[in-house]
Amino acid sequence: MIESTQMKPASRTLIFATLLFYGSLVIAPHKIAVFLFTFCYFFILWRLMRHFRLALMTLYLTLIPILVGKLFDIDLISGKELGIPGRDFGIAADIVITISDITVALMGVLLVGASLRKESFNRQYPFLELILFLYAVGTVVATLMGSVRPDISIVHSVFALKPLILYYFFSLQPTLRPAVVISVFTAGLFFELGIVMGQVLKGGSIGLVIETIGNYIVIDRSLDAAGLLRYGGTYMHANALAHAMLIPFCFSVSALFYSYGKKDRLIFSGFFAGLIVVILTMSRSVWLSVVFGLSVFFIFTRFVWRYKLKLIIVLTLAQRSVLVGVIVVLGILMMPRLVSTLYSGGLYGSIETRSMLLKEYTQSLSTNLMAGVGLEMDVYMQYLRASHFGSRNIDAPNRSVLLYFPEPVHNGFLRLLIQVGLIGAVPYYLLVFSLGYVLYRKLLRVTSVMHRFFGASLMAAYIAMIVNGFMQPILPDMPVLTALVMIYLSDSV
Amino acid sequence: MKKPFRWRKVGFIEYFGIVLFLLVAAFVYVYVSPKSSDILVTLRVAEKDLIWLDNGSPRGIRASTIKEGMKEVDVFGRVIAEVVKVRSFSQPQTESVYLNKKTVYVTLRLRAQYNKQKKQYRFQGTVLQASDWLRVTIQSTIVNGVLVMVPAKESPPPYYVTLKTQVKLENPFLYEPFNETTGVDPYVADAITVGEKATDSDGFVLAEVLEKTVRPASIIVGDQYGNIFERQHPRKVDIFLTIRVAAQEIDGQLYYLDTIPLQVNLPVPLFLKNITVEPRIVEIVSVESP
Repeated sequence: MIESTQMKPASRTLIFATLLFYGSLVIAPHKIAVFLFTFCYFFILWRLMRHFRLALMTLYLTLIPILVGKLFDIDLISGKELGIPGRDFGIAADIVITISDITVALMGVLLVGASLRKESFNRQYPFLELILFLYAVGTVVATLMGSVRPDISIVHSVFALKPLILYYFFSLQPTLRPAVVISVFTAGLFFELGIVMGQVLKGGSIGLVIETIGNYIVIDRSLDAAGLLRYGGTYMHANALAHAMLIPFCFSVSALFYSYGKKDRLIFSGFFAGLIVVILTMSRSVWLSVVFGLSVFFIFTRFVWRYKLKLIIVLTLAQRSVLVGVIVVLGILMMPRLVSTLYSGGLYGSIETRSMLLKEYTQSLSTNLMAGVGLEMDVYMQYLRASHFGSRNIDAPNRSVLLYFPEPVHNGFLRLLIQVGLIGAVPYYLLVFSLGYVLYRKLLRVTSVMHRFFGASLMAAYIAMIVNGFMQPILPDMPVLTALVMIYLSDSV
Repeated sequence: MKKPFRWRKVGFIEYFGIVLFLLVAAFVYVYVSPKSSDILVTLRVAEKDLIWLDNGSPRGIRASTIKEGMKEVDVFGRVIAEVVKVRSFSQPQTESVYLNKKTVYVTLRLRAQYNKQKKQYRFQGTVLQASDWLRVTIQSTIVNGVLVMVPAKESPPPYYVTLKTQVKLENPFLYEPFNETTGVDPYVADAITVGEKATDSDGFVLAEVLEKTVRPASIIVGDQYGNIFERQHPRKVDIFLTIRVAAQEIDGQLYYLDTIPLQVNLPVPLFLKNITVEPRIVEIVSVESP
């Protein structure tokens, strides 16, 4: 066990305040109440930290593992419009504005003020700023040039500004301490566990205002998965929840071996809460991503820095027995899902369908290489392609298009390339690479034990998100990643 | 002395400002600037999944939901789609006589984007080209079908074809005449009136009954020695009609109701007020060119 001597301990007060905030959302009768509770929580943070900007940063991190405050659902291209049975909700192009987005917008306003007042920014990496700028510009230009529905894609491209804003806001001094980040993420893990357990007990959604799709719980109908229920927590899809869990879960790993202050059992057990959630989502790609991410964590801590990893809290024999039992049960639950990947007994096997989608998208790519088809327009474009064939006859030569049309290609990087072409995607790829590069450089330079563990967790989350991005139609959460990297690049580290 | 430009001085305000400017410009371009031009297109209303059945044509009651003058507007209240004209007539080739389907042509004025290089119009992601499917939501009605004319134009004047036909008793489900008798019940003859016209929704005459001749049906009977005799049926009648239909010529062949070829021994659907019959063409008497 390694003791921290530099930083203040992770705050139980912060964890409980965050949990209280999350808990208030559960009883929120309406989205307006969600706003109100967020407002109250922000004032508690302000009071705790005595710093407006730090409170705003913490609020942003609090909102990472939970998708709250869907203001209004502009159902631009929906399953209803496309006439797909069972896909009544918007499949791709919904504009969802959350409290998190509003928080970032507020940060943008504050940044304008800070810039005019010539406040100091931690600007060590001007090339990173340039790439962030090019990413935003490239996205706007590409959607304007290539989108099949520019009226929709342009609205989506507004969100490309988020990483730029977060970069500058989190480079303002002072910045958040790692202990704060760990505390907030721990609360998030416990909250999602609570929601998912509620869904397990009820066998479906609980009916809360924070469940984005009220009556939707994914059921895996593949032959070998035996109709498993998959739990989406506060997200619209189990895979989306699993992807969002990657960051807090990877951070919770470091709290197993390093105490960010007192030996707090609550923070320690965040890892297990996250483990249960990640398994219950039944997201195979996230399981694999976690393996990759944790491997990176252990390579850095065990082999690069040669730390002797030891749990910070010694578990009793009874606790260990319970833990092993739970993990065995969860492992048994995982088996059908794993089998369905390796062996597909029918038309709907994962590998077969993913290959079909890949083929379809690759064909589309050749005709839309430079500017793409527009943000969130890839599925719509597939629909238009499919509509040429006219019939849903199972014997139609294009049956893959028709049967699996509602699915986007299960590779976020390729999906982005289809959406914004080389003009928009290359800056994004550069941004992903650059963030990893500066993170890696910083990791090799830091000497503090705490910052090494914190950084290894961040690197694990980074790798896990990239691996998952290659297997899911979800990309690494670039705004969050930018914010966390900027915390880590801060002068105080 | 003029200081050299240092790009490291470029910060949040500059980057944010440029992106914001681009975004606003893009918004203005997409939402505020007028689209390239309006284009008139004609589509035939059809269900994609039912295209194998009566060309996917809608039931009469559903076809009537599309009205001329219906408009769809964008967020600024500008008209982006308008129903200019609706023309419909009864759908031939129905598999069952009990179905009431319509062939519906809708002419739409769409505010589309024009690609000068490809000389193509695009409306809400769909390239407007004949034979492609188009789905437009106008107010609370969905107009869905196959584009038949891009851009839309006036139909050429029709050929008027006079035909001699005979109404035969037919199996309504198989479209095959019975072998032994060609007669029909007298009430069928009573329901057909000389001078009656079949029209489309615009009142345009598609077919007109010029003459009607009714006589007892001829039947074939045989005796115990194998002799056969032609006799008159005591109850059933044969109906001979002279009709005039509006047709169009496609590659030298005359077609009635878009899809029915006018050839001897083929049926001609007559959608009259009180009865629908499909007499067989016995003789093509005359063809009047437009």
